[in-house]
Amino acid sequence: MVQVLGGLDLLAILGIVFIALLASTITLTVGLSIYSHVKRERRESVTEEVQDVLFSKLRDDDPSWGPWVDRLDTTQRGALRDLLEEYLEVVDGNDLIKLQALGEELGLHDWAADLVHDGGYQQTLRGLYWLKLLGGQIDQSILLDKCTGHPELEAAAVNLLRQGEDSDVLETGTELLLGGGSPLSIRGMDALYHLYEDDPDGLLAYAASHSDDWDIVLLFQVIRVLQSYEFFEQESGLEWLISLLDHDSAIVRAAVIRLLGGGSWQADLRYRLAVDELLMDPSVSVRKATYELLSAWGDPMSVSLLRSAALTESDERARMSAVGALADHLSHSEIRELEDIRPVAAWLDANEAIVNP
Amino acid sequence: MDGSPASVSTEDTDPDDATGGETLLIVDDDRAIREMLSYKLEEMYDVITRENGEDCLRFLEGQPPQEWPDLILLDVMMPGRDGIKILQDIRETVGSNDMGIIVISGSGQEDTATDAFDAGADDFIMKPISLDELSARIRRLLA
Repeated sequence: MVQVLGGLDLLAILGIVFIALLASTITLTVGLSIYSHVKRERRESVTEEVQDVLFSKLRDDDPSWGPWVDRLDTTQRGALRDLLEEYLEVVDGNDLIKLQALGEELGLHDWAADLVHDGGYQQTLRGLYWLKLLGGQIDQSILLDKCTGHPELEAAAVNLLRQGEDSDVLETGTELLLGGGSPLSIRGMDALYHLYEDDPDGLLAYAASHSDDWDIVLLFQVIRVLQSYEFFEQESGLEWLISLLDHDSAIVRAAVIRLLGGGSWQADLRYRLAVDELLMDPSVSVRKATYELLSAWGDPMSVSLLRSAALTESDERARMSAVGALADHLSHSEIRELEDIRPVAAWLDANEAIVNP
Repeated sequence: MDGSPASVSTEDTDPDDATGGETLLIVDDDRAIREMLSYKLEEMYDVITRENGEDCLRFLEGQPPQEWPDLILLDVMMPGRDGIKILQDIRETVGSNDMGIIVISGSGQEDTATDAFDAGADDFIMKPISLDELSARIRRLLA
């Protein structure tokens, strides 16, 4: 053994040090745990107190938040802010207005605006989120400056813009979401849908004139957003959509077919689309979309084309689509009785088993 | 119960004019919704809350029909079975047609209204909720 201090060997010293470290770690952990528990209990108690006063004042027509807010300490303000964040998400009408006024009194509007002005990505996103909750606004030039090129920030900025009353919301929102030509986030697609909810023809016209430089994913996304609208009043974008049926991307072609099937141009389209060519498209996705289109139309010529496809489609997945589309217009017994399409009955049974397990 | 969608005034009413003694059951997994609805409604009604559909069914099964709430506010999107399925189960129970049910749905779920009315809802309201409007719809259904 190595004799070191006062006769203690090295191993013993290491053991003492280890035990000391272990003891201090345990003490620290337990201490932090107790501190966290106490702090949480205190916070829960404070939240309950604050919530009681909040609801009591909310019943008043004019809550007069100022004097109460001025008396709150930091913990109480923090608890109130957390409650406010939850409640602002779920209410509308008079209670929303009162809660937003409370947020103003707490200084949250200025705090959120500062986050957008001066913060990095996460702070800007949080600031935009809070401004939307509070019914606030911020200069559009700042939104364009901070958010352009960041899909999630762009979506959040557009959602904030939409609740304002500026006359150029549509222009600025479109610039944010579509100006760069890059794909949208999921929230961006939702924001775009709501931005043009009252003017779907406007989005169709914009896409028709600006999409040449777009990323193909963005083009697909905009077509999907257009598909969500049920009605278009004008025909101005229709030629552009029809031209996309020659697009190199099968995904775009299929998306356009689905859009055309759901729009309000059905009567015109039957004479303007080269359906025979779509039925011969090399892409299974395009042929499946075409079967859905024919089913949506449902006229005798379309049903006849579906009958033919149900017999001749070479891809099994697409054949199931054709059979399913045909079943929307012919009963099972009719399909079994018609000699020329009787062979598809087995496919029909398989389709039925999937649809109604 | 009038099953047509409400088209009601959202004027505030004097609490003294409110119907009294009725019991409302709020079923929603969102604590903020439960708290906000409770704050608004407990001045005029006895309010009970449950966090999910299964708890709601257990509560109803534990009560004789004469003790059932007068009206249920039922969220659609909840953990476990969704509100529409719970609504169907409730309506399949004998005697439940006297109980008003207002379905609460999140934004972007407009199609759910059709499902809700088909399942037996008396009214349908979307989040975010105008509490004044909801109060008016409840008064109309309980009248």
